[in-house]
Amino acid sequence: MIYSGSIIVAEKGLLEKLKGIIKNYPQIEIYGEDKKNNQLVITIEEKGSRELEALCETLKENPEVIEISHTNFYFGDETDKLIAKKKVSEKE
Amino acid sequence: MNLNRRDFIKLSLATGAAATIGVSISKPLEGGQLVDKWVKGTCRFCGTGCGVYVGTKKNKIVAIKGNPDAKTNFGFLCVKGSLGYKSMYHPDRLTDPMIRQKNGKFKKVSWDKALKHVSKKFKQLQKDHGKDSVAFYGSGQCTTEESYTFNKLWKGGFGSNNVEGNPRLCMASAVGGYISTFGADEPAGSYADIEHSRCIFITGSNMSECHPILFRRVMRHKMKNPDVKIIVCEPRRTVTAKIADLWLPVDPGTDLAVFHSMANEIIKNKWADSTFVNTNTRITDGKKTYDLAKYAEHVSQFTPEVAEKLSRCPAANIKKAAEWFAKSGASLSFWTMGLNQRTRGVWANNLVHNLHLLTGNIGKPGADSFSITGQPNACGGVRETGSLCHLLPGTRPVKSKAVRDQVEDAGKIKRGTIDPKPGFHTMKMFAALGGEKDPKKPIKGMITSTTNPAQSLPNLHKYLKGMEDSFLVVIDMFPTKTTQLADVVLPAAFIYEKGGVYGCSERRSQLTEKAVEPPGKAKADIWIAAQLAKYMGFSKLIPWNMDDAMKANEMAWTDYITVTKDTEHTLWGATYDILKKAKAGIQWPCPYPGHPGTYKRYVRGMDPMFEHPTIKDHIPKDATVYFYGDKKKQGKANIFLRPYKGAEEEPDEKYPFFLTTGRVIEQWHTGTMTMRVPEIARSQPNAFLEIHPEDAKQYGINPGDIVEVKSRRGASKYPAHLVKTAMPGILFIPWFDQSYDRLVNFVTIDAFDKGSKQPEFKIAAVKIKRLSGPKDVAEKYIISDINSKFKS
Ligand code: SF4
Repeated sequence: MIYSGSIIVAEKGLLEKLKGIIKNYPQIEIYGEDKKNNQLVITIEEKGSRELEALCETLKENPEVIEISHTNFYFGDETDKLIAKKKVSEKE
Repeated sequence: MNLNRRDFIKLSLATGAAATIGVSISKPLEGGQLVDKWVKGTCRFCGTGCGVYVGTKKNKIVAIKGNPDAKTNFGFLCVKGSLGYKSMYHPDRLTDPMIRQKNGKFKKVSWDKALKHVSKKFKQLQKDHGKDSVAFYGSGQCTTEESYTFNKLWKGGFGSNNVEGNPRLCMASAVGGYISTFGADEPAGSYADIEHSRCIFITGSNMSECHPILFRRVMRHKMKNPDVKIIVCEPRRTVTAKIADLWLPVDPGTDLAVFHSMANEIIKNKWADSTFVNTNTRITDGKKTYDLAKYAEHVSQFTPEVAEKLSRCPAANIKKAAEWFAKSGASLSFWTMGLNQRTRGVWANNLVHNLHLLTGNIGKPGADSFSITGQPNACGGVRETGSLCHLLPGTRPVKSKAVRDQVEDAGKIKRGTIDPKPGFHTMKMFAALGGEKDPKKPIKGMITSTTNPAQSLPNLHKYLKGMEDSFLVVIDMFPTKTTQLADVVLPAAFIYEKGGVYGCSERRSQLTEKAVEPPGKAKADIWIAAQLAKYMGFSKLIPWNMDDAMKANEMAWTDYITVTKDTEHTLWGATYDILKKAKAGIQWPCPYPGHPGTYKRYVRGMDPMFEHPTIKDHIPKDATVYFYGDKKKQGKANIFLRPYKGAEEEPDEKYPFFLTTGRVIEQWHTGTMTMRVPEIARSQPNAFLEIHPEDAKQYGINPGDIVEVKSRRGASKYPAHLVKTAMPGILFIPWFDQSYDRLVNFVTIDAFDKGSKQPEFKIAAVKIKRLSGPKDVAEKYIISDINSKFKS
């Protein structure tokens, strides 16, 4: 799983409509908004980068969406998994 | 508030994202920490130089966030830059020095044994075959301190200029272009010009995939200002081209005709800025000086219709592009390897600069002629420290006695040590590399750092034997194609396990702090370089051989900024302490502590070199723009009359296709790191052949069929992707795949630009053959076994 903290920018006047659209995506959660600049603060939780990119592409197809950009990512679970894998291979 | 772990992670990320745009969130984060600490640094997965913070927990990196204060990315990150770090924890990490034994297998040894072995062998080779028989081949991914240290050891210690680095393969033509046109390397402007530009000309660059955050800035600027024009000149209709107002499709290697034709249109329609041309430029063919009429006559051969015949670019598009470029008020060009990796790479660079000089689109906000680097420290580490065979720190020529004297004095090197004769450039160096008994191969030993030449050199078949026969020492994090040919492998630390400075495309040096310890016995390259110096008797020259990587980095950096103090690259004001505190790094020139760094060069009031004692007296008091690098000391930039020449190898009856190579968004270079990140590997598990459906139909090729791509030099095979992004007749293959069957550099050509010595990776003539129906080659191929064979 990867988690991103992201910003989604809506077309002027369409922020509320966009919020409605986002409700259809359980992977996305809205945490805040900037009405003046038509932006939402969201998190995305996805299986991997490909799925994350694909989800963003699908969202961008909505005329309400101008842009989605990411500011931070958490991948601690993968780090732990990789380290665990390493320990196994060292034992082998 | 009671939060489960998953909610806590999401809330932490949302808090960070909200801070980037300055809003508060509905459920504020209370107590608890996602990470133990955030450590400042720079992303290492392209030349943009995005500022980041990495989050550590129990000496592990578990999170990354964009640095909202960074002037490169303002807190935003792309997926490659965010996930690439996970490769640090891959079980294939090399953790011990290793020496290859007589049975062909590697054996783990202590550092002392490895260093003794390498230094003893290097000394013997130098004694038997001369000081130039051992070479260093570095990288635009080494830190500045590392490149500087290896460079100093070779040039100031051994007295040998056989120092090269992989930026020769990606940036050398840009260096040649800047130096021949402006008299000095690197762009005059900054990324900040994006937001001031009225027309952005992107040529030979798939910015959307190779520099995603820069592309984001371009897109945002366009979104906010729909009247800003975006022109893309590129053989493939990439995502970059898709956002363009105007696409100039060209056959590979023919864009010189388009640039000349744009210049012709500009002059013919009286859109040239004659005041700027008369005051600030010189028209020349490199020998004689001419007037604008002569230049007009030269480019008049390239009417848009003639250019269309040469390039397949519609004449109407050329005319429109010329008009937008000339009349926008502030035009900004960006390019990368599409222009540089060519046998006419320097000329291509000159011709883009010509358009800027002709229209006065330089030296003002929003206007610049800007080459973007591919690697995070090609500019800072290799160009600026002079870690190429013909250069010294400050991108200054080794041939100059005055420069040698200054570098020797400032660097405490004995006078007369540095050899005035340039060493071998990359292609010559690898051609000269071979076994001790081969009299035709003068280079017998080599150490490589942070690079993978056994996958990344063009026309690879030609150079493998030399690497195999010579005494080859490889410093890397993982087993690679190059370690498969090595005699000694030394395990390297990752950037966050050692720290150091990276200088990105816009002259900005940013310090990364060490965040975590490297695994096992892996060491910082700077430690390896300084220890090698010690074992070879040069510890006085390079005393920073301590275990504390940040202390060593600081000493090397201080040495470097002392040597370059009075050059136009000066970073004298960017001491380590200042860099540690600087939230966004510092752009040179930065002549004294307290100076904020320079957004734009060559402009009075913006460029501190106008007041620098070494230059100020040469600059007329009334000059507002002055190109002080001009060798003729007239402060002028050169508008070059260059002839038209196409690619070295053009399609013919036998080899009817153009092949061009490049990156994909997910993978970095030879994939040794990114292919080890599961999400990345899943999205791009193997290289592929992009072919236009019309061409595929002719050869009976269906999607997924396995196709052999063959040139005069070699062949490789790929599943076919049928796409309309390129024009018919042009094929594309990405170069990240390490699988022997899919090494595209068996096919590419090693012809190089006579000036820059940069090879023509971007253009080769090939033929294709359908081998079979679809086969699953989604192998996510990596080399895990250090003892595996090259052909595996
Ligand atoms: S654009 Fe380049 S430097 Fe920025 S995050 Fe992406 S890979 Fe890293």
